[in-house]
Amino acid sequence: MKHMKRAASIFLVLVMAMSLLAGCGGSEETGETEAPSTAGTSGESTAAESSDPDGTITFGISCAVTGNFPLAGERTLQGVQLAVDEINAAGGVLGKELAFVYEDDGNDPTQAVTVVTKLLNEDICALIGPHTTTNCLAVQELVGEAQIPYITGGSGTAIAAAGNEYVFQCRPSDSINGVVAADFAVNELKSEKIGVFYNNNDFGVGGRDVVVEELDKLGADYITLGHNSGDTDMTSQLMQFAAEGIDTMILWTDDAEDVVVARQTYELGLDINVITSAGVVMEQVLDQMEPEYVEGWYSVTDFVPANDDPVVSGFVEAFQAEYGIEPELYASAYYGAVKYLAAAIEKAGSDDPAAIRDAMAELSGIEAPTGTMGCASDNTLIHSCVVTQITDLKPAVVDTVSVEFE
Amino acid sequence: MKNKKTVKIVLVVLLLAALLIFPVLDKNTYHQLAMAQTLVNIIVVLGLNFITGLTGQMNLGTAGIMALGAYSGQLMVQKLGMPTILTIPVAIIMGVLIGYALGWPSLRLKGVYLSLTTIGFGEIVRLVITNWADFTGGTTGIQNIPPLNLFGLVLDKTWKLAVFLVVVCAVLVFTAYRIVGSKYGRVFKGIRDNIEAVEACGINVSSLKIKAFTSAAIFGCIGGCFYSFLMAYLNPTQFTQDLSANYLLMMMFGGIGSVPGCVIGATAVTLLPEVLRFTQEYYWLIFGIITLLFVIFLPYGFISLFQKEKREEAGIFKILIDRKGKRRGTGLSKSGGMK
Amino acid sequence: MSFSMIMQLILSGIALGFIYSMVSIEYTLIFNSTGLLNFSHDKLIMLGAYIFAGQFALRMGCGYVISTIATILSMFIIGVLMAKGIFNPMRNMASPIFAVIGTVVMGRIIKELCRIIWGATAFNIPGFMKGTFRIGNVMITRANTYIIIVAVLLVIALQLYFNHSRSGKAMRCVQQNKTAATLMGINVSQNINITIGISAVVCSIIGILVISLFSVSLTMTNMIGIKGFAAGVIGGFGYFPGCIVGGVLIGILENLSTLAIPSVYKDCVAFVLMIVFLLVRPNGILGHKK
Repeated sequence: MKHMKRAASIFLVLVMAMSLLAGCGGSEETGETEAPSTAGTSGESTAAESSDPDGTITFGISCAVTGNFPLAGERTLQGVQLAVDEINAAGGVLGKELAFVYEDDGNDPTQAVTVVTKLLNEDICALIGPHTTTNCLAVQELVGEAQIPYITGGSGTAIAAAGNEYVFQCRPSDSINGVVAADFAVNELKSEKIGVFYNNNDFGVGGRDVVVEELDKLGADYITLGHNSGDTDMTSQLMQFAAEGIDTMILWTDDAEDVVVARQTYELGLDINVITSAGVVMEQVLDQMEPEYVEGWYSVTDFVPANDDPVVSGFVEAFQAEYGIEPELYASAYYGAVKYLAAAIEKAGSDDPAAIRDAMAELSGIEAPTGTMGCASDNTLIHSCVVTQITDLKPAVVDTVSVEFE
Repeated sequence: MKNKKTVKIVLVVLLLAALLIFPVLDKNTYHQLAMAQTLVNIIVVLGLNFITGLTGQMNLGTAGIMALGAYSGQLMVQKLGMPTILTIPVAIIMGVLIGYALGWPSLRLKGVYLSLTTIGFGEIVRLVITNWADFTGGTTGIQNIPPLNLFGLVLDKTWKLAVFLVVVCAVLVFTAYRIVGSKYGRVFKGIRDNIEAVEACGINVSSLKIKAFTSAAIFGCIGGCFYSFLMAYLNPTQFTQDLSANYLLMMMFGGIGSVPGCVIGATAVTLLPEVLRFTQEYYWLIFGIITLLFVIFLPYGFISLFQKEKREEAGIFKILIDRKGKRRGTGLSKSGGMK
Repeated sequence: MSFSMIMQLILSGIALGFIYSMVSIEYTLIFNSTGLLNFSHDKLIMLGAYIFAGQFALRMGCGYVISTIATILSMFIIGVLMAKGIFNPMRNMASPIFAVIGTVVMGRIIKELCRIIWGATAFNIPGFMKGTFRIGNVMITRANTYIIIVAVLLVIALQLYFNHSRSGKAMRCVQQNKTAATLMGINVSQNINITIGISAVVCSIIGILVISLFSVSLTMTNMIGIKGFAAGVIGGFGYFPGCIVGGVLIGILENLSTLAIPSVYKDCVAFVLMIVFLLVRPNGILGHKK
């Protein structure tokens, strides 16, 4: 009797394992093509069958809707949805409807590999996201093998260094932003001694290396200090900067750390110029600060909503009409990415991934909110950035810098 | 009696055969990857089962153990040009080292101290890997990990690695099964259930706890090693406290202390979120609620459905029995909190 | 390295240290009463901040005093519910592992709920507890002074409560011997419910106090949760004055360590100290024995 039971239990285990695997396989056929719930009323436009041979052209999105950075995913989807709606309203691409499927990667490399593998098994012609440099490096080999063009918003220099011809960067690489920040500190602000303060992750370290190389080239005097991701107290580093007598700080870090550094720089009474990486100008970052914390700060960034440029203001208006909030980096960068992708599909004349990749590598002169997009030899698509200054929590454009590219 | 055993063996062989054929037939790399991840998780959970499941000592540093297992091998491949096959013995040696270095001091103490030490250990490992960038690559990680080369047989595709993992996993499951059933396994359980009785028998409890912890570390390091080949990319941000907690969850989900339980739990917890993906942004919430219901109502896991004494010890069946007893007016409620 | 700089590092360290102290007080309450560690405590702190800032202060526009009272009340109820659902059923199980997993899962559910209810955007309350004081060249923020005052008041209040009130004495009795407490007519389960309710209240107070320092976000408490454990071990596990000493010691040493080692290794200090104490002096720096 006892053995009977055991045999039965093992049988059940087997059944369960099988059914789980089957369930896992079954899930991809249902529900995946639905529009994100964050995208409001315009869901139907993407709720089409990806396998439809002539009705739609489908691309995949991997972004962080859950995890430690969920806002990025939310804004990404909003930006992408807006772009897709605009393209479909204007007749779609190649006479077909443009649609997307999205998966949540939780901003975690392991999950990113899983969902990108999942997306690559579906009938997609291109992939947008995962976002950060870390996740991009984790999946770039996969998309290279599958020969699917992949647009990432990761701005780390390590991505271009990996040399994968299927990976495109839709935001200005840190190799541009870092140089501009260093030049601005030395040439415009006439700094005598510069403190480079970086987040000790791939983004921060990549930025630091670019800044330091440029400062060396300019012969400036500088020191570097790091902090960990998620640090909540920077007193010791800021005190060391003060003791070294710096007059300008170049800060290369993420959103949450930006807020802490801004508050403590003010509280400790450090009277210095600050030039930061892109994130600080976003509304959701500025909302967390008091005006006096970041008064007069400079930021080298790819996008600010307050810009007279007609492409930017048109995008800002459309975005506000749709979602009631101002767009920021993620929304604008991925909005531009979708526009670029659509242009590439038109140019390629088919939804064959290899043809799209070749078209993407040749395109230039595509107007996007983050600047004019065109592909350089290292597969970066944006070659300009703006220097902004923050006054009363409002960033305003000081200078637009374009870089020559091949 | 004998043919019951035969039935059992036949079923296991069938399951193995099905698992071996699956990655070869199913060309969907996503399914292959999910399966390979499940197998890696099974290896790690089997190890955790020795120390936490059997011996009852809380280990919350699994992520740190995996990270060391993965990094030690891959760094030697990258820096010294070591053949990839040797990463497996390197991982085993690393496991032994961790077992003694961490187990010896902390297992002398009773209570919550091991869980606190392992939390600290996991965090230190993560922080050092993150910040010792010259050596470990920092947060840029180790890229382009070469595929595992088994004496000329290159496992360069996910399905090849998955097939190899089925074999490795089968061997390790069998090993774990034999250890649980051996005299060590019985003493491990004794340490959990009644440590004084074990000591009174003249058994060196500390040394056995260290043995259990070392086995856990070895399995964890092997798991980490295969994880690195599976992902072909290593980065310290993957090895967080959350990952350690996930392995505890897997162990409980199937059934603490039982080898089939660990296998079921690892399978369920790895694949369930993937299956739940269709619920979009709610899938972690739904997954969390399902697991919480398991913890409260079926604490001895899925496997306890087949074990009368276990399932009546706690959870929904105990509640039902208690209620029955109360209605009859015979049973004494234990809600007074006697310990 | 000037004197004022070292003073500044020490004072900032003390301020941060008191946060660790409060965290360790909050989980020590539960540990003493049930012998279990609450691994969802950092999520409870976060929940407190979300309820205060997201729900009452910003969405409903209540004043700070009303918001604080409302938050404390709702967190007390949440704590009691958690005790009824998780801690009480699980403390009698064969292994503490079930309670650990239960609290970890609970923490994840809280985090997901916060994201779904209040959204993924990090936010702050403009002008709330902002500002600084200066003593000579040394600066301390207003939030930090509140934290120090509240922490000290909290320890005094808890000590008075446990040593002089009837229900507090009953709680100590439950801590020491549950069987004897039952025999003396104390309702152990109810007692534990209230203790965990109090612990949730302490969590919410921490949550409110750190809003101006960390902003309200889903990751705001990741580090202080774990460092709180280290503070408890260093001060002496399960002993309130030890929590204060342990927390402040970690805070100061963390900051001063940056004078000697690269600042990115700062976070290791707490964990290394914790392991060293576990090896050399498991009773903590005050050597308190239960």
